[in-house]
Amino acid sequence: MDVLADIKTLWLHRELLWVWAAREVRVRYKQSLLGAGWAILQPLALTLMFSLVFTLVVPIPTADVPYPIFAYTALLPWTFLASSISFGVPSLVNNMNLVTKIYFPREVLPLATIAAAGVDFLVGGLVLVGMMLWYRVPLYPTALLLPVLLLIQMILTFGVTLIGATALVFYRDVRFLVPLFLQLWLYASPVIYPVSLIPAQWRGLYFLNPMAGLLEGYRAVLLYGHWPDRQALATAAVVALALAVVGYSWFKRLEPRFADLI
Amino acid sequence: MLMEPVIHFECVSKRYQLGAMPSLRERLGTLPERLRRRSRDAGAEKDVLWALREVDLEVFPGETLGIIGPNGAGKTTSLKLIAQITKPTAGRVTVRGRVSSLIELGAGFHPDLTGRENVYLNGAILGLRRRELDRLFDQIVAFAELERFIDTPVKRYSSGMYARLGFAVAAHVSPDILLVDEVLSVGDAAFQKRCYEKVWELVNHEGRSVIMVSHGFGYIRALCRRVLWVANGQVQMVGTPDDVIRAYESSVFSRATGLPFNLSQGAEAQVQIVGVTLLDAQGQPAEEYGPQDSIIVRIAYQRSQAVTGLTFAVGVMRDDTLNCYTSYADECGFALPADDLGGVVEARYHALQLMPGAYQMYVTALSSDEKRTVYTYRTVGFHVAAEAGLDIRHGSFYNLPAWRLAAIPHHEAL
Repeated sequence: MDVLADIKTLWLHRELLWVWAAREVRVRYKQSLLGAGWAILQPLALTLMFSLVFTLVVPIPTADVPYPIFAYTALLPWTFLASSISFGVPSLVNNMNLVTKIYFPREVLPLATIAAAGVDFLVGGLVLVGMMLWYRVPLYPTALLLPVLLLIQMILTFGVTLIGATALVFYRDVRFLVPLFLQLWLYASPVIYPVSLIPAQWRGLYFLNPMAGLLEGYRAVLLYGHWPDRQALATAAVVALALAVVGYSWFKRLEPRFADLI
Repeated sequence: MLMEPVIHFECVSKRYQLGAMPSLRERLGTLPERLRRRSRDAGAEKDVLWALREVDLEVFPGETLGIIGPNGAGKTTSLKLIAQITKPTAGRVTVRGRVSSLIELGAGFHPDLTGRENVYLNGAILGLRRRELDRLFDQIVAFAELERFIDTPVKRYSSGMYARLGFAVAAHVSPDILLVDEVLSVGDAAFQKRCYEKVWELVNHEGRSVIMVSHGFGYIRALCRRVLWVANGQVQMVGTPDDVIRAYESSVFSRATGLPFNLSQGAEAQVQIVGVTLLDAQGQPAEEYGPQDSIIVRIAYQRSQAVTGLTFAVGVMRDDTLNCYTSYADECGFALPADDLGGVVEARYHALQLMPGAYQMYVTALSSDEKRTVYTYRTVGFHVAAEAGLDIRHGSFYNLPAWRLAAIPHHEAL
């Protein structure tokens, strides 16, 4: 398989990946007033808005967990996914002068945006810790599963971002499709509502969305102290892995044509 | 000893699709048709450009190869294939070793980051480790002469400073193969000279291979042992710099000026241009002129008794082969003495009126009859430098009008 050789080349360029990710972070915060505050503001503002709507206007059952922390626990990883995709998909086209002038494994660009979004995610994680202290949510031993959930999510993010980035090189329409797609995906995932609202006979289909199993998993291990639904998580892992393999091989197959098309 | 080539092109062709990429809607619209034909490329031949066609090429370690040819001939495409930025449509490209390209200086710079941050970023793009960069950092900054500005965002840099930093990083990567495109035409003359000295050092002291694309034939002559002339994607000629540049120039000049440069056999024995010297207003030999400066072309020639009715054509060509002006001495009202066997003549332009850039002064000896048979020609390169305080970027010629306020009410002027 060529994939091993591709990964080896990528490994040789790991330094570029870090430097480029650092560039992404620096550039994003350098000339903005709030700087790293933006990393917190986006999920926090959404949490506030959803909390107002879904506690006062249309109450949503959250099984003893206060709605703000219920929503934030899902909005934080969701924002990680969404900003990786929305910055990562155009990363090739936005750096066309680099792609057409110098050779390096092109996946460095989308990967670096994912890494940079990861920095935002970590900053936003501090707020989650604060909220857990405020609402006196204990740290359950199930939280040990957090790295596994994150790993699956990153594999998923990698796959979807590469598919989108490749498609954007060929069809500029994709740029306008991304926000719409993310919005639909948000409502198809248990971000603002619990999975318990989905009728049982639809759950099998529902969990084909890997974010469903993942977001439910984050809540289970952090807020409720349960182990996540094993079948839902396995489905998420399989779908994420399949998307990553498809995305990476598609990306690498078409990579030689990027410089000619961009 | 049999050496392996570091670059090997085997029957390489590269095709580009012209025109815009079809949008998703168009692709979907034509999907049934395309499925029926089951071929993505058929019927699109007219929108296709062959940037290279069946090119064979070998470059050995420690060799410098110059590539010349008109714009769009396939020079940059060749470099992009070597740099692995793009893949050939047909044929095979084999490259051994680390390639560093100077195809565009500072391509990876981000305007909001400081010079220091960009050195590390650009170095990483070119494949340097952080430790190597730490070691080379001071050298790079010193070469670029940017010690004072290294912590300033590069968006505040002038284009010259930008290019200096870009070259400094790329040249310190110590690649096995260095690709040099037209990039070195930016920056002032002193910096260009230093760049070429650095390239010379890489070739002669460190045994690197260099592939160089340039219109500045002086540097190609000085640095390259072999020159490749490409036109319309095909190799026209490979050989020593003198042979290839001469053949290329005569082809370009005859097309640009309409003068017949295909010299007849033995014509050169009849008339010889012994030397062409460019002199400034003070009568001193010079290579660099201001846009408005006057220039004197001094031509020393010899001819055999048999040649009667000799005259000269003199003109200036920009480095992209734009013919700026051409004129015949006899049409300017100057006749050579009919009976001498040689001498020195001078043609004086009162003002060059050229934009900053690289130019060739060409001198042709030809018959004064209607046939205008060309005996021989010579070219001399010169530079036009920017005038201090004036930064004009538009147009082909340098011609500043004199302005005044006219004392006429505007409704009367209409």
